[in-house]
Amino acid sequence: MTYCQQFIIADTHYQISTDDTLLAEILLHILAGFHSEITPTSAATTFEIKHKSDKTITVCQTGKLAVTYLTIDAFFSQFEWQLVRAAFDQMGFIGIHSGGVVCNGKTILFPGQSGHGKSTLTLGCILQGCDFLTDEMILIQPDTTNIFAFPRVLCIKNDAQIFRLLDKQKALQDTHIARRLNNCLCVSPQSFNSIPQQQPCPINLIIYPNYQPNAQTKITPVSPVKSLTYLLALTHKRTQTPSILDTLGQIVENAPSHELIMSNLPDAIKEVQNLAI
Amino acid sequence: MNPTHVRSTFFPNPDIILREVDHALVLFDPHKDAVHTMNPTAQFVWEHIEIPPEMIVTALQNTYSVSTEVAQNDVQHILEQFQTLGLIQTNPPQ
Repeated sequence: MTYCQQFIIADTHYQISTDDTLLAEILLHILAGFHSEITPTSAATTFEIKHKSDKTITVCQTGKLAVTYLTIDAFFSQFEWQLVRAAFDQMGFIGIHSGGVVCNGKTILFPGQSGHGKSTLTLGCILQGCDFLTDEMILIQPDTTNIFAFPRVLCIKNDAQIFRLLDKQKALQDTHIARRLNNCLCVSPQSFNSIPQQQPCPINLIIYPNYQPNAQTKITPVSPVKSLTYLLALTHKRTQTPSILDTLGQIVENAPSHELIMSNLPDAIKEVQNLAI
Repeated sequence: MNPTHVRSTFFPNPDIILREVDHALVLFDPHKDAVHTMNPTAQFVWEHIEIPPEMIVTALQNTYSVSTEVAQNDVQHILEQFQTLGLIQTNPPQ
């Protein structure tokens, strides 16, 4: 077997395996953040991945064919979502499309649609020493509103040059950490400080990144009601979760919300750090 | 007439999920995947939705010191919006 790894999302064990060298290389990179020293368990949900002779990629979940991807790019961009869906089905967690870091001991969310700057702000913050939670999806335990890390590979779609000044450890120059896949710069989070996946984190601050080229960096408060409506729009499976308003309502009542208009990344990071003091 | 014995005209759609946040109501219709927030007048009407409209008008007049005409127009407009959005119904919830 070329690749066989057990890992955890929140409190659920998964085992992924493939005997294809190329897929193994991709899996090693995109799932590096999930790897941990855990005891193998027979109760793990298994994913067996095969690269077929017709170039398609099949994923069998616990012995049954779950999905077929037509290309490597499709596999790369969608396989994580298959894991997330499996996690939701098993755990009843709420997922929000959001970046997340821990800065000065405070858990900060960066919720937003694609293109608003979640990944950029998340990578900028962890290059400045913040702890990594996710750049894409936070998992919320509904009864406690605590969140759990989802340390997928960071996917940066824009020009990676903006990180050069922040990358004092030259981590992004290491091809084991940063490589181009599917037209993205994909940064494995294992070289940065990450919050352990089983550690619950209470949410302290919500910052909605809003990337606007040539705009002046500016941070403004967002009312709890607006924040709740924003979070709701970014919540996965919101229509199937009756307790959704209660959970999100608790979050916005306990964590102040802000909008961060940003074009200059160092200035945006300073605003985040100032709020986290 | 005792207001509690008057037949209610409208009822909240039982499918609507709502929560008060910072003294404001947020309503979510999971069937339409639609979220609604309200201005203070609309919230006032929503909070009195199960009494007849003419009594909502009177309550609005007393609370906000507005003319009968203004209160009637506001209540009628808001109830029409609630109906259009599917937030209220004429049948009592089962």
